Amino acid sequence: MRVLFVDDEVEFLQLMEKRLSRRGMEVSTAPDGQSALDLLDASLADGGEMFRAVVMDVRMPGMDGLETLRHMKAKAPALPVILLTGHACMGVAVQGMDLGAYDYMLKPVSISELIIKIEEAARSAV
Amino acid sequence: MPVTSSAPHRGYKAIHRRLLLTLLLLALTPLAALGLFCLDRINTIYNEKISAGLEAVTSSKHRALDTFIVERVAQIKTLAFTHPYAELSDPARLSEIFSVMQNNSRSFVDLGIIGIDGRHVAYVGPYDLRDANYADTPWFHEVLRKGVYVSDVFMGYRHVPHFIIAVLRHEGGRSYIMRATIDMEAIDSLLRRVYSGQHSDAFLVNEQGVLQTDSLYHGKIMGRFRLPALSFARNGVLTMPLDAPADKAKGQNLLAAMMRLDSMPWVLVVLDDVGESLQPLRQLQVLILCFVLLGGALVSVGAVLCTRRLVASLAAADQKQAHIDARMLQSSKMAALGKMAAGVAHEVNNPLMLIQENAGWIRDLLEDEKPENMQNYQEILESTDKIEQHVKRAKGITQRMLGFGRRMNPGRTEILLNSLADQAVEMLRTEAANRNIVITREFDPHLPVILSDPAQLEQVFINIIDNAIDAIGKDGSLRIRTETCESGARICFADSGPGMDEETLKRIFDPFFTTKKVGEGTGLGLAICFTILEKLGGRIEVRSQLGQGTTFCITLPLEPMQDSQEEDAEN
Repeated sequence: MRVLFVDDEVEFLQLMEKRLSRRGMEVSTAPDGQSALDLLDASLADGGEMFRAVVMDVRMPGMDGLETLRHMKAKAPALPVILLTGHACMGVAVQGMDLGAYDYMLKPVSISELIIKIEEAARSAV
Repeated sequence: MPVTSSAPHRGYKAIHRRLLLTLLLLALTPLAALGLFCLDRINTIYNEKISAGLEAVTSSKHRALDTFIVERVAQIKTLAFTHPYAELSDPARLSEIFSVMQNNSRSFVDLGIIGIDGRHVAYVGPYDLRDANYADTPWFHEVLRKGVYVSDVFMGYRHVPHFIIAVLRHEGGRSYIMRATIDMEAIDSLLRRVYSGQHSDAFLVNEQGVLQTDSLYHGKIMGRFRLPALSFARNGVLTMPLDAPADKAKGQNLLAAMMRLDSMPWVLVVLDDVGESLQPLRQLQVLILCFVLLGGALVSVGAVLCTRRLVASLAAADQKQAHIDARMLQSSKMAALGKMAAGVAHEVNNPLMLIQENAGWIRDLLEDEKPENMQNYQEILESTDKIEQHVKRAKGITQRMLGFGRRMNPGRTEILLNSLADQAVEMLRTEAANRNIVITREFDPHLPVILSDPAQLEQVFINIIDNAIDAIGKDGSLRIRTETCESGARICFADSGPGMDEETLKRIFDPFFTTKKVGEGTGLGLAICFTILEKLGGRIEVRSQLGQGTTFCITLPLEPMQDSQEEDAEN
């Protein structure tokens, strides 16, 4: 299962890539919104395997999570996006849900919960 | 809001004193001035009026006396010049003439014709003056010199005070004098009509100070009356107070009006007891004084009451302001700390997440290892567990910090405060029972339904009850009471715990301030309660004394404020 992980914390990206890969997922990582959109464009152009889900941090320098989400939804409306947020902030989460996010999770998340959520999201998109 | 703050001391006693003094000064000065002015003016007007009255009486009597004397002189002159000596020297005829004169007015006592030798030629009157010889008397010389003479009062041969009018007549080489004695009764009756008051007096006095008539109080006729050393050369009435010590001693305050007669070198003196005439003035003065004093007393009482009320209002306003200030201070402190807490929590969350993920990665890697090949496999695994456990704990703290910093619009649900309190108690009932803490409820059955956020309120109630249970420790009681209040509803939690000192009480709502052991409390519970209630438009107050337990009272409005906007902690 191909998953795109977007976060400005590179160390976190690397860890998640390693941990999720161990659990049988193919993880692509992007340190910012623009890189994520580029990767998405590339996967769409390839005609190869599409990302089954996106896990994305809300707060990022430059293009933030919500902005990136808006662009992603424009390119691939069916792609489920799970938002990660460092805040127990209902406002941002509700905003994200309004923009079409699949769900949101509060940092730090446990790996098992994250995998369950990704699988749920992937199933919902089928 | 802590009730430890007190109104700023503004020296209310000094304010009271100054305000009272100012008010009294402003009110009493015009009153006193008005009183004094009235007294002075009335005094002056009255004195002027009395003087004017006395002057008028004197002037009128002066005219009457002058007219009387002038007429009498004219009468005698007419008589002397219209009758021949032969007729006048005949006693019978003279008696007839005198009778006719007396028929018109009884102004004369007697009438006589005196020869140039000073002896009576003829005489009509009650005295026997046949042997009298006037040749050496002063009046005789005066009449010879002047032709017409009116004497001062003298005793003469009859040894009775009297005065005479004498006219010299020359007829056919013969000279004789017609002499008439004025009836003193006629003069006295003229004067007596002057008397108005009990101590009024009127009399005539010559320039040498010899009384020409009887005075009621200042001596008999021919006695001495000390005229004030004044010149009587001028015409008109002279009015002046008479400073006779004897009169003063009698409580009399005599005013004298003096006027010189035109026909005689005599002075008419009219005396009046001003004290008597001023009696109505005295009464008026007493009345004015009473009014001023009564007014002053009323004004003073008014000023005292007014000042007391003003200062009390001032103190109350100060007290209220102090409460508002303390609340504002606490609010701004909360806002700043809330923001900081949210910031800190956010910054700490990322490293926490990395720690957790790294621990997870270690756990992942350990799965690849065979425990028997690794000497410290078990230790590493346990350490990883502990790292994860403490990350979880730290996560709990940051969650609460974020909760404290978070600003959310309160919900607006109809709430029965009694039921909500019941729910909160139910949550902690077991814990309380385990510690032998009795929770009693005194709920007002008529409590109004309020619009508020039940979840947040319940969090507040649970927090306070939980704190109370912790404070009591074991064996105690917690009394929860609800009541209707002016602004909505109030709920009070009174525990039988150890209470708090002043210092603790002051900081009780400060974030991160805790009296619990390290690791047991974050110090955010009451700070969160404070911010929640502030958001809900309510307020929290605490009263506590060491050894006497603590009472938290929460007042809630009937509905929350409308102006609150959602202020998210930074995205």
